[in-house]
Amino acid sequence: MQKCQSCGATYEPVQADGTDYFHACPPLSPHEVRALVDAGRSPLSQAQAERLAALDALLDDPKTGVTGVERGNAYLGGLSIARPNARDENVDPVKARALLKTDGAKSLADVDRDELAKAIGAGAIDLADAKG
Amino acid sequence: MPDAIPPSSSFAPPYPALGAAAGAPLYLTGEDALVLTVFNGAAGVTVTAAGRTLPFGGTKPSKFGPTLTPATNRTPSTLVIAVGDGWLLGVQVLVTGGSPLVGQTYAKLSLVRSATAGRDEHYTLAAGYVTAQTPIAWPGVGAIGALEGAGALRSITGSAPGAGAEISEVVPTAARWALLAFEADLTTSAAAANRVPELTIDDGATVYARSPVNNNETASQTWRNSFQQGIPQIYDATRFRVLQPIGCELVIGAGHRIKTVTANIQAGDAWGAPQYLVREWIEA
Repeated sequence: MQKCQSCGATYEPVQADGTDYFHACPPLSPHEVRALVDAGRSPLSQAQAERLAALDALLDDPKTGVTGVERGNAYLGGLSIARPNARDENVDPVKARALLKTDGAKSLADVDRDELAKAIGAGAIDLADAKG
Repeated sequence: MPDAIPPSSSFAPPYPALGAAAGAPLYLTGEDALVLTVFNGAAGVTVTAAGRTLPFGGTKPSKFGPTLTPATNRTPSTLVIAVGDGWLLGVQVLVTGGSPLVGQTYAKLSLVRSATAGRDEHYTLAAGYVTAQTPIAWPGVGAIGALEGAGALRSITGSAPGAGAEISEVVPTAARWALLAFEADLTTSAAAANRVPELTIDDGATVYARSPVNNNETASQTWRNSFQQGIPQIYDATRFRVLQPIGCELVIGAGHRIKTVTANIQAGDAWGAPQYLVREWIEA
């Protein structure tokens, strides 16, 4: 079991049937976006920030009880903003092609996963090692 | 080197049985070679290309049978097979180690000029998915595309997101999936809010399909959200399950994402690791 140091997700890098699993971090959740905004590291564009402010300021819906902040959260959830320093273990085709063609490799069977990954992010740790 | 055949002579294989095979034997010069290319997503696979040639001027066939242990990340692995000059009588590619499903190990056998880098590929002798029981072969099988057939049925356990984060599963590079079923538990914290999950599918950036759950999950609960093909929407408050339909023939390409987007998700909420069923092909 591994733990992603970028997003905190846990996963098995090899499935029960022996196939490889490639973790990729999820986008930021609304509360994570708001935390970054509060910390002065807003990932929002000016237009997105203005739209969020407008939604947050809406009055509660008298029929459904949905609040302005909830509408703002729904908006943020739909933006699918990439996590800063996200990890994506999926094979980068450009890196793979470079190794296969430029270096003349016949197979990438022995290449480290991180060397082929689209983005290493903050890395991943083996939870068994972390406990030990 | 063999003697040159006079221009006026009609070609005739030097061995009667070859002529009886309607010209199937393939003449190879010493500069020709076979290249086996394998795209594989299964573990512990070994592929063997076994065949026979009739050396020029010989009467007794020679055999060959090199093996290739392909990468497991669906990138191409290649093996160059130098067979000398003479006639290729037949060759088959078969899995001789591991037990991949149809749809997990795609092999292509080509004739190339020059066994070194920069070789020219003349044509494909045979291509298709191989297993321990199902080879591809020349002559006979031909080239079958990697997106043909039923694909490999795979049940996948995804990532359990960190607290307050959503599920996001990505179709691996060089894979194509048909999503059949997807389910995961959402455990809510004590923070008061009505969480409303939605399953979305995007192309890596833009959503093109979604299935919202018609259920408010309140504080301190655990609901199983199950998305399947061909079912009605069912809300089961006894077992804390919501069954939700997804589209049939939902075929998604490499880099596309299957995500949850949960209205009002709180920092202490926790999605469990999703379990999902897909049919998988290799984009060779």
